[in-house]
Amino acid sequence: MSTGRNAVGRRWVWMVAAGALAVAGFTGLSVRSAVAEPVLPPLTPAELLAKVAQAQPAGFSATFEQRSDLGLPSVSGIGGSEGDDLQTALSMLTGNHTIRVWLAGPDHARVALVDGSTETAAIRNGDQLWLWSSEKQQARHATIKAGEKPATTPMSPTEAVQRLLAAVEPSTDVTTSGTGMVAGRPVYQLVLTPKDHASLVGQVRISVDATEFVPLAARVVADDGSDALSVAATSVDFTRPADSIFAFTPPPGAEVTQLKPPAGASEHPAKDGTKPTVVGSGWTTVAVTKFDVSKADQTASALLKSLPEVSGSWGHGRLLSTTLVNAVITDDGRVAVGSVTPERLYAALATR
Amino acid sequence: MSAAEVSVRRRRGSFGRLFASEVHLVFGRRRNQVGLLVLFGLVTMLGVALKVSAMRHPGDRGGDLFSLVAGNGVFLGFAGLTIEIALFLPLAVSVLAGDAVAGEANLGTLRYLLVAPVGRGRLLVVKACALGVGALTGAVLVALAGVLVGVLLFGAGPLITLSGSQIGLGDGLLRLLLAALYVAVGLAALGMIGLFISTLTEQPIAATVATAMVSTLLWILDAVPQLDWLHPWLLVDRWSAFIDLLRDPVFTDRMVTGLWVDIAYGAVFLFAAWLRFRVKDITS
Repeated sequence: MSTGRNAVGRRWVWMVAAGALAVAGFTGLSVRSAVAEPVLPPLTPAELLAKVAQAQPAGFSATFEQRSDLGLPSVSGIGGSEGDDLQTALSMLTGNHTIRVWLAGPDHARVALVDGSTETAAIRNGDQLWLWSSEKQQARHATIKAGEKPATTPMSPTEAVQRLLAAVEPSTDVTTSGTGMVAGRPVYQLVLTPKDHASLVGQVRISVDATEFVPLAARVVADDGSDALSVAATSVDFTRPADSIFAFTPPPGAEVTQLKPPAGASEHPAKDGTKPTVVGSGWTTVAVTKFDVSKADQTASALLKSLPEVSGSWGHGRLLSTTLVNAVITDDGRVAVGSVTPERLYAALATR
Repeated sequence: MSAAEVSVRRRRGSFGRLFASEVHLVFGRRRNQVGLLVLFGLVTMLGVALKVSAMRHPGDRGGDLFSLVAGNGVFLGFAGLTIEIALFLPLAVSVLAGDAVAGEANLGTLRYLLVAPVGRGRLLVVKACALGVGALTGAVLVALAGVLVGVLLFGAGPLITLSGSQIGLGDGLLRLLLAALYVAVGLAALGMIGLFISTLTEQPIAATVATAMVSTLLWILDAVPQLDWLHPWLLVDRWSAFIDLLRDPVFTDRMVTGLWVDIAYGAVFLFAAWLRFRVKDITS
């Protein structure tokens, strides 16, 4: 072989050239999604909200991407076995998730979490409600009485926004801020800013479709400017899904259980008779509740020991800090939780 | 018939002949035949292991892909693709890619190929197409092995999708074929990376190891949660998305993005390989 030093050097040049090309190619791909802000007739927040309230889409099917960056450690392995309800709930708070949603009228809905090779779904077909877990091969069934809405029914985005706004109006600046594109559709941006600066929430930004007036994306921005939580449609189709989408029959071999009426759903908070004390209101509400550290299992207490210690006139405890929520677990068995700075939590603990 | 037409026809003919001879060469190599046997054997092993476990613990059914095999043999095709996509299929493609240019250079046959009235560009395209055929063969073989072994051990019937609905056997087999095709496109893209590396060296083993390392490195990066901003850009990130074919209705979003990523990687590295091969000194 007569390859000298030059040839070796040239190889690296080719490697670098290929790398540069790859980067250029991907930049080209990602530019596709970065479109200029569309020009839409301006709307005040009130007008936009009215349109959202009146929106009656015949139905749609959409895919949403959910991202969380709360500064929490990965919770896999904490809180029970894989596929557990609590596990599912906790896992929603970390990492990225893909959610498929189908909606047709008020009483036909299907929401499916499609991560990895599993699927967890809630399907409402008229008065029939099914909860399906492919991981456990388990179907849970409930019958909904007419006019009654169980807590487990997936809330439509329209409803969610309406409820949110009614609750936050006194404590929040609501503005419309420009336009944007979500899932290839022009959207209005509705921005909610907490009036109290002690809140860890910097802004909540909701993107509303400019023709159908259905929310397509929501972002919770922490006060340090980072995206703490975001849900955004990656594709959406405003044609009514076929009825077969909402039909569910448990497959053979699956475990089928009947759910008790929603009254049973409140068993968790009432279990040990503790009711949280609420200090403050609006965005800076702090909940103080009892929590017996000695009852915590090994994993939880080990986790607790790894948290930084804090103390003050209110006592002594440990601080769990995330981008959106802070919590203080005191040694005398109390927990204060709120989307506020730790100082507010200490104040709430001091008031007893 | 004009002279131009004749020359076009001749060019096409020469491409076909070259391609046929390349494919013949790839499948004729004993190590490649053994490689295919290994891919088949792994699926058989997985099937037997699942059968033994199903006999020991009858009725013990989880919902993951491997537990579903016990209910329907066709799932073994999907399970086989799942276990082989991370290491064995990329390794097989790496071997083919190492042989493609570096192997010929090492044996001293590359210069004879170039003596023939064939442009270097066209030779490279023939090599790339042969790699594609190799990737396709590997993926389809794994799926086929899964169906054969699975149906033999567990029987066949309608498939339960991840969404909880049932689909017919024919529909299930069609979806398995689509899964194999999807996996093949990803492997072919890795093959283009391998082809590029193959033009950089005259040692086939070096090219093979480097390509296998690239794929393994991509898998490791894809598993690190702290790098989740990088994951969408990794070639292997959506390779496992073929599982979305088992949803009802089929979820195509991830696979479509995955195909674009595959095509982008493939095109970039095929182009880089051409840039390099065009001016490569054939020294041995």
